[in-house]
Amino acid sequence: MAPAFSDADLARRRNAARRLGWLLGAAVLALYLIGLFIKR
Amino acid sequence: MEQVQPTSPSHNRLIGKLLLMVAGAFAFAFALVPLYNVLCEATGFNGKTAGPTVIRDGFGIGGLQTGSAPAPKVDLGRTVRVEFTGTVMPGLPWDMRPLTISLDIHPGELQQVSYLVRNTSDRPITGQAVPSVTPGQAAQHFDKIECFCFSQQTLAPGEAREMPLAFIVKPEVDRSISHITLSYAFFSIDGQRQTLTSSGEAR
Amino acid sequence: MSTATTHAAEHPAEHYPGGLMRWLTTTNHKDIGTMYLTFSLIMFFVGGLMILAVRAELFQPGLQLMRPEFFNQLIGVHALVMIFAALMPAATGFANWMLPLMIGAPDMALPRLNNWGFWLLPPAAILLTLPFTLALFGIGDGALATGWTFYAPLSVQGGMGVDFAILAVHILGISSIMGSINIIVTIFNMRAPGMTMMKLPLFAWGWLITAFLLIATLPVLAGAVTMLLTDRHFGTHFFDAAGGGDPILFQHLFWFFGHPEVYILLLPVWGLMPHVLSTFSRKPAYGYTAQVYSFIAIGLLSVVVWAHHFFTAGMPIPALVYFMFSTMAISIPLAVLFFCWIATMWKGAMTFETPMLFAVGFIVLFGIAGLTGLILADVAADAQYHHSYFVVAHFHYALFAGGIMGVMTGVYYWLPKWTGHMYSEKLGKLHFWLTVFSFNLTFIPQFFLGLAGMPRRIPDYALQFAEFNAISTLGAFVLGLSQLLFAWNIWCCVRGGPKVESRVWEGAEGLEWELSSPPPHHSWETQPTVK
Repeated sequence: MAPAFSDADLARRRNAARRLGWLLGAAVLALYLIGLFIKR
Repeated sequence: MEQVQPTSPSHNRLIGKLLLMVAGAFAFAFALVPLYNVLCEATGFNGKTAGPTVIRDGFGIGGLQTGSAPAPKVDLGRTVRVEFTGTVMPGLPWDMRPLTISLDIHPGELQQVSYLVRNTSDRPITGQAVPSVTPGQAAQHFDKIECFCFSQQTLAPGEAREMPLAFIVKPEVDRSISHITLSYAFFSIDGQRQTLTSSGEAR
Repeated sequence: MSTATTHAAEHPAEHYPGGLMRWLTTTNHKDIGTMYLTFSLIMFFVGGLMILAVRAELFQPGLQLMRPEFFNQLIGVHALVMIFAALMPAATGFANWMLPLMIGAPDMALPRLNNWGFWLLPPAAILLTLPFTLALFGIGDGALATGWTFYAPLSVQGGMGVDFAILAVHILGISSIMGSINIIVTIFNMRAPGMTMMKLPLFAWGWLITAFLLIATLPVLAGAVTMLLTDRHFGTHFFDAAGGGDPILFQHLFWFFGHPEVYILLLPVWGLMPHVLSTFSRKPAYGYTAQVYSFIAIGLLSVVVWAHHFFTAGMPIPALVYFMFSTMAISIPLAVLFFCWIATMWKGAMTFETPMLFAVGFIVLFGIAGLTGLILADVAADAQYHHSYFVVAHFHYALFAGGIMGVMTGVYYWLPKWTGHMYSEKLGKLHFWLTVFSFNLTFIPQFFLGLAGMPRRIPDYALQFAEFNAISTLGAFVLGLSQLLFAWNIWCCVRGGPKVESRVWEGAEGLEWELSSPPPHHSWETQPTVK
């Protein structure tokens, strides 16, 4: 049985997922930009 | 228990089509065999060379280069190094080595070299050489006028024979190609294929 | 197999033959699905034991445990067992259990064919492994020792293990083709009223493409091994250069099947992922249409890229370039899928039950498989990495992390639906973390071994590779042992446990969650309507 999650908990998780998404996206973009400056 | 309904007509039509697809795919596998050979000979894919080239009417390999000149011009402006090698496959007690290791030629020149092949066993054996040209792109421009690989060769016990090969590297060969390797694999054609056993392979 | 008891308990009025006869004669899609999944789990452990023996031999340089010939037999049969007897039956088991529930059909379209399709599998599995046993009694010299690819001319010269494997592949192929026909007919003709093709669950779409790929490519493999058989015994020379044949032709035929096979194994899992991600993110799956078209695009591309498996066999430059670019083109629809999976989770109220853990783990690890695959698709790089341990690590990220962890996702997701009981979340999570940890411990060192130049398929190696091989073996044994948790968890869940409702997971959407858990013996006696 799935444990019940309160509405407040679910809202908190939605925000966390949004923030983590932006964070990972920024990290990937940063890696990409850094890569442009690496001389081979 | 289960009331298995007889399959409906719409099921049967679809099953029929799907089975046709299966049969088609199976047939496709076998159709690939001749298709593959045609493709290889036309493009030199995989280093396959064609049979004898008849030089006098300028008829190219596989009959595909019908437009080529009657007598190929010699391109003195560049040289190509042709290297010769050979392998005797397991199950054939022969030795072979090229008498010329490598040769610098101008494309279009007729050249002749030979291989020394020796039967090291005490019985007469028949073998067949299968040629391969590397790089593959050069294969379609590598014309053999005369070759011991055109027919089966039988050697008496202990007999050694020089086997000749005459060839032309056509001037159309790509300018980027500076080295061509011609390799022969000599196979026994006496039927019994060698089976590797785990014990035999290890020794 | 105690789902039998649950069914029997809930349907006392059902009268079917008891005991073994029930399983031999059943035409019920749930019984057949259960048998497929059980068979798959057993063969997963059989194939796993083989590779643990291999890893034990590779623990240290030198030959300790076995002769090289036996080593060669183990690696080839391990691959065939895992691909044909563990992964493919697991996906077919999912399809049997879930497709009728998902599309509102009373059963599969061709129930008798379904039964036959399953019962071909055990004989094939026995044929595949029998030569090991025969060799113990001095008959023959053991199983197929060519690796799973059967490359000619080695397979033309090999012992009788090759013949056994050829026969097994034929039978497994017939079984898979029957399963595929059944699935296509079910999806095309048995959908509930109102369920158009573009409302079809993504799992069904993934399987539909898989089924068409199987129909288009398995017969080619059957043709290739048939030619091999006639070369071996009836004097033909398809692959024998001495008789005018060509061993490279075998590689073309084999990989014309072999590359689509990768997608045959993965498409059902890709179809399942959006269901799990959407359930535990409490959001609809992102980009349904984009995912459907990506499945179709990958299916079409997969049959035109095969030669990247033997770049080093010798090919003209234009052919190399073509196969390189077409292979890399597959990453575009695949990237669309990854985007859709991630976008499904974004802004979702995510909770991390075991299936969700496996799904997220799948995305990360399968991503590594995709990226390392791009390196191998590059002709210039492949010249160095071909036939090295880099390739081994790459395809285990694809087929273990992508395939088997995907199947585990599905098992944890649907097991409560199948049995009516909840499995142990605690054990499930432990299983996940042990699996992910030991999987990476096994295969990350293999990437570096490959980069350093260690070739595949060797029982002994240079001293410089010793440390990483020891780590890899350690990881493999932890990985193997932690799968016992998986089997134990399933066993306990089948035997009993807390009862679950029909909608097992609170965020789950779809027809399958409207039937009771476990579903009645005959699902959808009155067909549902989809709006």
